[in-house]
Amino acid sequence: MFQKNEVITLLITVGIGIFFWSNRKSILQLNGWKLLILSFLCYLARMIFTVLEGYIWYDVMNLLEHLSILLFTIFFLLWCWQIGYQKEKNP
Amino acid sequence: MNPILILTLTSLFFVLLSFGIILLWKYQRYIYNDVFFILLGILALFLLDHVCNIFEWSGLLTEMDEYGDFLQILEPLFLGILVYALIQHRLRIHILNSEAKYRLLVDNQTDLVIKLDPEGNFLFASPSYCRLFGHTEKELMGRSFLPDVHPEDLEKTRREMEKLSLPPYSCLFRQRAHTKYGWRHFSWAFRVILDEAGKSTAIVGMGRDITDRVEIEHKQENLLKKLETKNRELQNLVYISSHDLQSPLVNIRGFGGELKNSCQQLKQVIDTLEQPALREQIEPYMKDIQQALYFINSGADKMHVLIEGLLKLSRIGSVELTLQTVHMSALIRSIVESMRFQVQKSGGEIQIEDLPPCRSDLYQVNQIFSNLLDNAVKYLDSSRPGIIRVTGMEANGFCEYRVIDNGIGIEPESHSKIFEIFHRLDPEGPVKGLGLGLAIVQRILDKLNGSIRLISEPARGSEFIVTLPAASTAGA
Repeated sequence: MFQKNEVITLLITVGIGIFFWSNRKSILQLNGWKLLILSFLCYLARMIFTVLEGYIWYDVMNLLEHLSILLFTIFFLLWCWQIGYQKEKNP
Repeated sequence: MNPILILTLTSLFFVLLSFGIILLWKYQRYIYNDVFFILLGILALFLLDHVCNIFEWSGLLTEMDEYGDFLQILEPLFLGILVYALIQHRLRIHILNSEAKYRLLVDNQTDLVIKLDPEGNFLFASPSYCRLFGHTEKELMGRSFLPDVHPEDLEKTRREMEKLSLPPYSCLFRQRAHTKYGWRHFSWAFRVILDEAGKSTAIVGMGRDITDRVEIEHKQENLLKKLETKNRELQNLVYISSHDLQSPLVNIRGFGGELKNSCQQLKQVIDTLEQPALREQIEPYMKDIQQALYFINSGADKMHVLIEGLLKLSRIGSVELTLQTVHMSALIRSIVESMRFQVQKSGGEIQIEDLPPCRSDLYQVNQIFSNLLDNAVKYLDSSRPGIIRVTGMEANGFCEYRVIDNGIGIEPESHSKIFEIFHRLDPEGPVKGLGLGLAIVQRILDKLNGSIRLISEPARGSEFIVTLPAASTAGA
């Protein structure tokens, strides 16, 4: 059974995704944009798995949800490190 | 699901988030403040979300799940805000870079750049303007552009600035202005900046210090005036001296003629003498006297022709021009008609094509083509039938007439010399002349805003190209 807050969060994430897509030209000029997009996609996947776990294969979806959030964290931290490191090299 | 696996993943997640916070702290000074706090917020949200989850799993505080749900909703919002802030920073940097680029150009301009409001008060003045006028940009702001302008140029400047309210909303003018180095000359180009409704929002001006150029122009003007005066003086000198030389020459020629007649009478008297010894004694003296008289008379005749030529040349400068449409075809035909005998004698033929009319002085143009055709006939090659062609065409407001002959031609090294006064290609040749014809042609064309050039090859012929303003330029 799905939870209301999970669906709302998924809808917000999709909305943010649309915002990303409409500003793709500006986003493509940001430092480390690939890592940023990857991390966002992982977050979107996490939300999809979170909603799906209420319907099918709870265990698998739950695992995928945790793996997705883990990957999101890794990519996001890599992006943080990249922008910080680059700024340190080229202030 | 295996709780150990979940616990492992969660622990890993915690470690990573903690590491992320340390990382952010390390690079804090390289990250924009707002971005730093958003990032910190995202990491904190995830941490708190998982703390709530752990409490829920452990069954310690089941109501914590509600807080976790709320935090979860905030996570994507924070991600969106983060990207929005980054885009804004990117745009701001882009604008700053662009501004820095243009400021670099303006700040290092030697030309003066100013921006005025529609009333003519300063909104911006480039450092070059501030340096030259000894003001700071702050002092100039809001002040009128006019106080530094020379009082004599003030009215002109006002008039020019008034033009800015009408299309094409731009003006160019010169003025004097008081700088910290004294009065200097400036050339200004002003342009109005219009808004979408076509209303003036500002005036942008580009100025250049042209004091050195103006001084050179003044010097040039003075030199030109001096040159004109000297030229007039020289023309007068040539005219007066030629004119004054005429009267003693008239005496020489007149009395020379009388002496010649007297000599002939004396000879007749001598021939009737009855003493042969006396006649033989006198005859050699008579021969000497006759020979001397011949040289005196022929010299005087030559001098007369030269003085006439000089007078003619000096008169060209002072003659009043009557500009009118000259129908060249008719004019050339009348010249050829007057030269019919000369042309027949030379065995040549003159062909005239349709010629466009020009705007010039009829008498002077007649003189030009009379001289050119006279030369063409005189210098025909006796070894082949002489053909002289006169052609013409109009282009770019000028008429180009060509007098083409198949005569003896001219050596390339003499091309520039033939327009010099008294210059003759073959002074000892059979063709007699003074070397004035082409000099006169050149002088007349200078006065008529025309030009002449020559294309010629020895033994092939010559082509004189005369350019004169076209009749269509009348009133232009």
